[in-house]
Amino acid sequence: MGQRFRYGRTIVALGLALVTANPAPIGAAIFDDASAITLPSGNLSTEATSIRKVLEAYVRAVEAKDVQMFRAVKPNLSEEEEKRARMAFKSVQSQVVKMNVLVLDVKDGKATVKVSRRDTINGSIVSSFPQTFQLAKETAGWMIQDIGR
Amino acid sequence: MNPRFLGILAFSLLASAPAGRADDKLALLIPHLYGPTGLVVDSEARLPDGSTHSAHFNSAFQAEFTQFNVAIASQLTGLPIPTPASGFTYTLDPSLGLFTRSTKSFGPILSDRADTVGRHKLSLGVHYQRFTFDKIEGVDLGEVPAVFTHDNPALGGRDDVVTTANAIDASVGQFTTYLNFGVTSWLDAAVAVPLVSTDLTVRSTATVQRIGTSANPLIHFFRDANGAVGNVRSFESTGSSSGLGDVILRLKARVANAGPLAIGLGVDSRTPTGDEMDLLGAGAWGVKPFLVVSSTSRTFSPHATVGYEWNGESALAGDPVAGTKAKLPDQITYSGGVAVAVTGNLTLAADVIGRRIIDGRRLVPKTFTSIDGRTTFPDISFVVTSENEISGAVGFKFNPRGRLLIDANLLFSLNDHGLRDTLTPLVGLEYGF
Repeated sequence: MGQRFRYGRTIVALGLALVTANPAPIGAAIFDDASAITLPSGNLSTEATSIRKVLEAYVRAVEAKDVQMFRAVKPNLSEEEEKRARMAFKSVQSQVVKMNVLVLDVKDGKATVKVSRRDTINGSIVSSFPQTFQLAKETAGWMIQDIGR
Repeated sequence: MNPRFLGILAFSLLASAPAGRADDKLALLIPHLYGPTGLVVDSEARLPDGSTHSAHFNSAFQAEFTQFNVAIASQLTGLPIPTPASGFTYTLDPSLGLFTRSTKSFGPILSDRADTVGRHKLSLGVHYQRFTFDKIEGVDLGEVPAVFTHDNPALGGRDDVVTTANAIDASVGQFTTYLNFGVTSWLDAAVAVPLVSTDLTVRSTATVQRIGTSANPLIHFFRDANGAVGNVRSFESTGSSSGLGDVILRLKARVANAGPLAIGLGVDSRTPTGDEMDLLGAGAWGVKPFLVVSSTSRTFSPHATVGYEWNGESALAGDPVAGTKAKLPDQITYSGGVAVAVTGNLTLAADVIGRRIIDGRRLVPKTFTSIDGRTTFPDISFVVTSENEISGAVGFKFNPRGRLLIDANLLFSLNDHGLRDTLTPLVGLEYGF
């Protein structure tokens, strides 16, 4: 039986973690250690760390415009989605992604991460929007199964 | 290209524009072509009281050709704001969390589409276009005929007329700088600041037609430089001006999306910042709400607009000599076209751009028949009517690097109504910050 850990509106009110992934420091932490997020100990920390790495990889894939990296964190990418991803990467010259984690739910090998995302496209075009990641823990580890608003 | 360079360039061009002179106003050039008292021929005939006959001749050309001023002003007010750097629009693919260009097309040049530039995004553009007018209502500006009739025409000496062959060289250069700011993701605020230079030269060759005084050339004649009696005199007047034109403020909102279709609503407010007496602006406020419908498919992006422009009062539509004002005609504007992304860096655009000027004063060619019923001359008159002025536009937008766009366009007449330039080139740059 999995545990359910919810970091909801309270965490938002605390000014949740600003997740920064700049192309320069590729390995920068998505869950900023200096943020207001208080990670529970034990299993949650392990899971959160794993999920963090997946989201870090997702951000790196977007910023590097690398379809293979993208597929590595979202292996259920369909051919049509892969085609759209290639087209999207081709149409953007540069992209910087920042995430503000609002909610992290982990239950029964599934995880839901709700974030507020802010992208800078081509150096100046900024867009902010909410995003929800559905993840599943597979043999190889946590993988993104679904991305939505 | 360095965005700062573009800004400095635009500011420098704005700052370097010479102001129009206070005297010698272009709007008075045609009314004053023959002098402040109009067309008066020489005469040695004596009136019963012994005074010299003052033979004053009148014509719609001089009295009503202020329509020409209105036509120029109308051209200035009718110039569409080139679509501000709308080429770089991105939409989110929510199932991947990736952004992709919503369309490869960089959009139309002289028309518009519903897309907005994006929240807190800024775009700057500069465009230059030059009109060298060729025709008015289908009449060649190099050969505008006008017949001047005697005061109180009647059979006999007052049956004489003066025919004139008039050539009008009119050109308008317009350098427009515009800024477009995305207030929200769906609302744009823009300002277009035009610098206008107008050159106008009018040449008139007047010939006395002695219909009723053929036996006595001294009643109506033109004395030449040597003092001899003749029947031809040439008049010429020329002038130029440059300065700030009518600044246009725009709000445009993307109000609805239905699949690839987007609908936008906007309003243009034209401020009378250009000196109308120097033919730099309309001299009247104008407000134009408009509707835009466009599709944002990947390569083929059709678009259409329709608007209605209310205009205020201007001296150009009234009497520029007396300074009295009258209402500039309202107009319905419309356009439709397509932008085709040939490659990721090149978009071709083609548009049909039209406007229906409502109850405008228009020149009409006619044949003048003298009082004797036999002698005829080509002439013009003016009527109030509503007509469509339709133009075509073809051009391209090229993206050499980054978010810089190079624009080029040719505007051409598709009918003869209004004051027309056969071919109007446009060049410009756009940059999105």
